Amino acid sequence: MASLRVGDKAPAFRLPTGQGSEVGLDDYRGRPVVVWFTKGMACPFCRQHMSHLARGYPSMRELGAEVLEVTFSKPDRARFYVQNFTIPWPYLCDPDYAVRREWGLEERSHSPLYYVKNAFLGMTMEQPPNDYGASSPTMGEMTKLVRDDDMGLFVVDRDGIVRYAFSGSYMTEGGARKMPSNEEVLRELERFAAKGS
Amino acid sequence: MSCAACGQENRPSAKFCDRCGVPLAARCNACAAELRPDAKFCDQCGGRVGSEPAGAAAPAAASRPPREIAGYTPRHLAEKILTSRSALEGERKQVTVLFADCVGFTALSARLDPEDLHELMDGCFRRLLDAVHRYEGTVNQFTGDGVMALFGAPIAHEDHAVRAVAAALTAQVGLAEYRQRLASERGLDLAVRIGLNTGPVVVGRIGDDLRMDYTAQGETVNLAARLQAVAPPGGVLLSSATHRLVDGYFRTEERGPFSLKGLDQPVPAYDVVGRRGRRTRFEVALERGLTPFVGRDRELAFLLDEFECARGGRGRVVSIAGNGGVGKSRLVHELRRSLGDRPHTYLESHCRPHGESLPFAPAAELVEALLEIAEGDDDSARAEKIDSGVRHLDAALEWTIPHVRHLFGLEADGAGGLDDAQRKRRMIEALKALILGAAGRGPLVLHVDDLQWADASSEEAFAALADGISSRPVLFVSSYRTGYVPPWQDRANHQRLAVSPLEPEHTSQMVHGLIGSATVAPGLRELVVERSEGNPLFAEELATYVRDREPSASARGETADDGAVPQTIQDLLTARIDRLPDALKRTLQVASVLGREFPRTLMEAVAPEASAAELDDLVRREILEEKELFPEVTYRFTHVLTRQVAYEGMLLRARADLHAAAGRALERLHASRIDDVVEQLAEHYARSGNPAKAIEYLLRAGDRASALFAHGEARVYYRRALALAGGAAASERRRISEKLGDAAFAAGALDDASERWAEALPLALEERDHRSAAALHTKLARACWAAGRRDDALSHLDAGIEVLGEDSSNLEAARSYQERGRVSLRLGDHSVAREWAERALALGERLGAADVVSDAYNTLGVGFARAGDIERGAEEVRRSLDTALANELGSAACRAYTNLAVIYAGFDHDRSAEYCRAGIALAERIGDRLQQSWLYCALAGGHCSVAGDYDEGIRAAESAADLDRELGQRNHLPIPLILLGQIHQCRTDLDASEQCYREALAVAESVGEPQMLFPCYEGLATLAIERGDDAGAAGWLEKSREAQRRTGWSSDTFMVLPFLC
Repeated sequence: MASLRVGDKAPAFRLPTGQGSEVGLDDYRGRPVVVWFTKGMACPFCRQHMSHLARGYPSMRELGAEVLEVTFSKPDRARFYVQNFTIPWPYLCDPDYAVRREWGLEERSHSPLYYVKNAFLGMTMEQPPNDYGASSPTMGEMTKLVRDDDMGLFVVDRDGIVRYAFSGSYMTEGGARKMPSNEEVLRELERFAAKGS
Repeated sequence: MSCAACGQENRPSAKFCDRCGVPLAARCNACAAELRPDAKFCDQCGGRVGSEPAGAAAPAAASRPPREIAGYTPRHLAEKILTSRSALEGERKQVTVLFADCVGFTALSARLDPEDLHELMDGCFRRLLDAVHRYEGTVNQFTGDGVMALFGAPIAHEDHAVRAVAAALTAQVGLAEYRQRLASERGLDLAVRIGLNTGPVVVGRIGDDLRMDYTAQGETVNLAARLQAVAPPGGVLLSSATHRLVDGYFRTEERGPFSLKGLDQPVPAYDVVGRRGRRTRFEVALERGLTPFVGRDRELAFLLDEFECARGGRGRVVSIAGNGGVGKSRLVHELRRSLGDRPHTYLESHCRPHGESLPFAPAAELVEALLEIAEGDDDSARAEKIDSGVRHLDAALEWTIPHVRHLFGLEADGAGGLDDAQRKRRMIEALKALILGAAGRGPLVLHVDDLQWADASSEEAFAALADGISSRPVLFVSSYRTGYVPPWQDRANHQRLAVSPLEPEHTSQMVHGLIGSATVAPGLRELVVERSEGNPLFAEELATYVRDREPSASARGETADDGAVPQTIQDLLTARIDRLPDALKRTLQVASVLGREFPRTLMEAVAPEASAAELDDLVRREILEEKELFPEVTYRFTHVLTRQVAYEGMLLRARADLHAAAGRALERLHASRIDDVVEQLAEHYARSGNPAKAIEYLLRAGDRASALFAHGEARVYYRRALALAGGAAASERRRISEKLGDAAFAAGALDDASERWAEALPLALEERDHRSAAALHTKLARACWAAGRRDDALSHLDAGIEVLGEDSSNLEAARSYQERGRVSLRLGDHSVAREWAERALALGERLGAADVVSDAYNTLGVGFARAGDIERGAEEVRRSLDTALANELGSAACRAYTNLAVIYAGFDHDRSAEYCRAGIALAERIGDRLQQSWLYCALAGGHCSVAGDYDEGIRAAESAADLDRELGQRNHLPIPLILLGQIHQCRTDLDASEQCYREALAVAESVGEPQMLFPCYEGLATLAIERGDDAGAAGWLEKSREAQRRTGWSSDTFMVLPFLC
């Protein structure tokens, strides 16, 4: 399924949360919602993003917005996370990827060319200079053939229309894409909050 | 009588020197032994004091063998020695020592009356001495029943070992016949034992009587004497050192091993069984097997062209010139092979350096080859071959027969009635006629090898031949060493072919072929190629030396290339240097001290007596070459080994004096830009026995290198300075150790840095220099901290503050406070850290200590950021960066870049990446590898968390881990490991992830830094949660909460600002 684009109607969903209840997009009709697809607490970097986003979360709330984090976590793991960590927004469980797919996000493998290129980079990366002769490059940096989950951060307006869409592969042939910062998300929220009002 | 102190010649009756007043010791005229003032007889030889020297009117009544050396040394050798003795004295030389001793002398002396005994011994000694002199050895000492002779000094010969063995064999042949005669005529048994060894000696004073004082080095002389004692009567025993050099020239059999007095280990020895005919070095090499023929296609093609030209009837003379070992003989060998089945006659002769060659010997060899006379032919066979051979060649050459017979020492009619000059002229004509006669029957190739050694008569004969061939089908090839000029060089049909060194690729081919698959240390092959500089002989000898030495050398954990010059090369070059006129040799030695390359101005300053003409002469001889003409004339040794041999030939004292002179000259010549030459100055003074000056320049060179961030170089200079500072004052040694530690730390060598600083510390305490001691404590704290030795770091910090006591408003105190602040922050003691940092900042600002200020801002900034005030934190760290950049404090700036990259990662990705890039560039430029590792991790963190580029993240993290392991930076090693654990976790490779976290945790726990402990705990907790291990997760979570409680930092803080320094 093609990725969602700005102007599309956001597909509805209802999912269990780590907080205990079930939550659906409909519950927030009339408020802007940040729908954020992550790997959840199982991924240290997603956790890092959560910490970053948490810093902007109060400002987002001030604009009337809510953040819905859609993760891979199974409901009982999600409950354990919520009990033991500070997670300020609803932590949704989509362990079978159903909602992700609905929102046009995929798990994808890269073309063979991508791996060849990375392996080549790994072998030719400049070694730090040292006094003791050339160090043997550890080939641990050889790329594993891994799947890459699409990332996705969407801002949906109070009418359920996608106003901002950042999705697709982290890695493109042209290099890595950067996650939007809190400032960018806030800017989007402010932009159409102003328009909508 | 010459004075031993000043060399002044005094009147024979003088008791004191009339120049310096030193009492003169009387010496025995016969044996030169020192006499007591009132001696009537010499207590060494029994000679009467005041009698005439033995050579003039031998004292018939002497009951002992004659002992005067000069009288027994042929005049031409004596002159050769005396004219060059000044250049020889005080040189280190490789020699072969010969000891000969009569067996049973004591028994004989009891049975015979003194006159008979003298006669008997005289016969024996004469045979010995003749043999020694024939091969240009010199008898150095009469030992009572025998003699000691040296080959290689005072007259240098590259083949001293071969000569010595040849002399020993010749002596034994003569003595065998004498022994037989004595046995049959008088029933006496007299035999001589001979022992030989090769090694270095230092040539001392050479007296007018030719007696050479020498200082034996190691076992050189002793071993020869000991071998002589175990040699069979009538036999010759060689040490393995000598054997190695003559193998291939003589037939030998191994004996022993012998346990000899004064030696720890039994040694093998070799009995000489016979000679193997006259042989050249090339012939011996040929037998051993040649290396592939490389890099001489052009030269070979030229020779073949010349042959074609000659074959058509236009005779050609080709001279092949080149240095010893460059491959002249090989080239001719290949020419001969290439001629293959093209019809031609090939005649060859070799000029030999031995004294054995009679006049015309090389020319006679051509005739020998032409008439097919074999070495074993007896006189009648020779006469027969000469007669029939000449007649068969051309009946008209009949007239040459008497001359040819004469040449071979056969009886001849028809050559009588001529005086010497006429006979010589006729001989030359005969030789020429005979060879040209041979050319009448088809193309002829003549080759005369080593023409530089030809005797004058042969040279004349060859010149006549060269003149006669212009319209005959003859190619006359001669080869000789650079420096010799053949008499026919101006002839129209003459061509000179200079054989130059091989190209590196060809040398490399050779060396790889020789070393083959033998396991040698990496880089050794390249080193051999480099040192041999295109000389195939050198390449072969060095390669063989390295190959044969390597297995035992590697077993001892060292590499075989100890910079030593293999003996064969050393002998070749020593002989070459010794053949130079005295003044040139002296100039060459001075040059060898100045370096591989040196400007003419320096040579003029050090040795004003060395004229430009001498340098030009050395250039003409291809020992030096002009390297540059502008901005000043610079010379360079064409071969590095020549320089080494010339240099090592000098005594330490002489070298030291020249080095001192060179140092002074450099100071004078470069007074206005001394920094350009500090390294050379340090080198010269270090070798001149002036350590203080050497240290001064070494430190200066080290400081300069440090300033250019060449830490490795700086460490070399400081290390050398420290090595020289054994006798220096404690404060000086402390200063050098401290500098060495600083340079080591800057290069990231933590252990070495700690060690040096720890060496310096007690010296500072001893001097009661509290501030220096405090500074050292601070530095040690830093190194210990970086190495993950937290407790040592803390105790050094305490000690530093304690040693300062009340003296607490100085730079050392400020630095100590600053370090304390940094370490406290890293340990999570936020408020303590802030307190120390503010104290350091205040004091640092008051003292204008930019390093303290910059680092203190950094600590404060990190503190604010951790406490949640990221903007304020970033601001303080930026202040730190500005201060560092304004004051060129590279490492402090790198620290600030690292922290800014981490701080900005959350809200300004591009800026964060920019700080990272700038930091890495700076760290690389200043060689700060410790901080470089931090920056790699900041980069890795950015790749993973901001951009999701895990592959780049892995690469950066693994580079950092490698670097940390190499440097021993244990207080950073957990960070790249954590990053790797996180990447694996993100990719759901849970086992790999756990392994990384656990490895990181083991190090982090010993270091005790919360910012490293927390992510390990959290990582392991989430792994446990994902695996459904709730109890395990709870345990890790508890530890994680404990870290948060202890620091007061929230988990978000840990997540958002993972690693700050």
